[in-house]
Amino acid sequence: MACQAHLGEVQARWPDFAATHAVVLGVAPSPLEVLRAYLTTTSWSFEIVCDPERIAYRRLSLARARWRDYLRPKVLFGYLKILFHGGRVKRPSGQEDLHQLGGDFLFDRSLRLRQAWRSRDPIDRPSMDELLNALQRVADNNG
Amino acid sequence: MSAKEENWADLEFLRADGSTLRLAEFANRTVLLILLRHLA
Repeated sequence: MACQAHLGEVQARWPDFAATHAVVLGVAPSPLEVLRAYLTTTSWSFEIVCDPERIAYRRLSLARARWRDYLRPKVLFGYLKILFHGGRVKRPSGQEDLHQLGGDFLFDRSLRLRQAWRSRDPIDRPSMDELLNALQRVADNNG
Repeated sequence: MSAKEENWADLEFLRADGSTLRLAEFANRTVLLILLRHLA
C-alpha cells in the first residue's frame, strides 16, 4: 500500500519528472504473472518491471522489515494517513515477500549510483522534492 | 568496489511481455529506479 502511494506521488508530479528527461522505472519483487495481473488494472506514465529473484534488491543492499517495525508510531501513523487519503489495504500476493523493503536509486548517465534512499521501515520513502532536486543536480553535473 | 563505484549496467529485470530489460539500455540517460516492496 505504501508503495502504491509512493508511485501515486511520482505520477502526480509526472510533468516535473518528465522535464528532467530521466528514465523512471518501477521495480517489483514479484513473479511475472503477478506483474501482468497488476498491469491489467493499473497504469502509470512510467514502466513497471519485475525482479522475481530479487537480485537487484540484494545487490543494492535492501533490507527486510521486522514485525516490530510495523508497530512504530511513525509507521502506524503513515499507514493511517494513506488510508485517510483513500489508500486501500490489500494482502500482498502469496508469492511476494511481505517484509521486503524498497528503495529509490539514482544512476547517472554512466550508470553509476549517485544517490540511494534505502527504506528503513515500510513507509520510509524520499519526498518528491528530494527526488526531483537530486535528479536536477545529476543532470546539471552532466551526470 | 563500493556501490557508488560499481557500474550497474548489467542489472536485469523482466518486462511484462517476458523480455529482459538491462539497465545498459539506458546508458546516457539518468535513471531513477524505484524498488517496491510488493505490488499490492
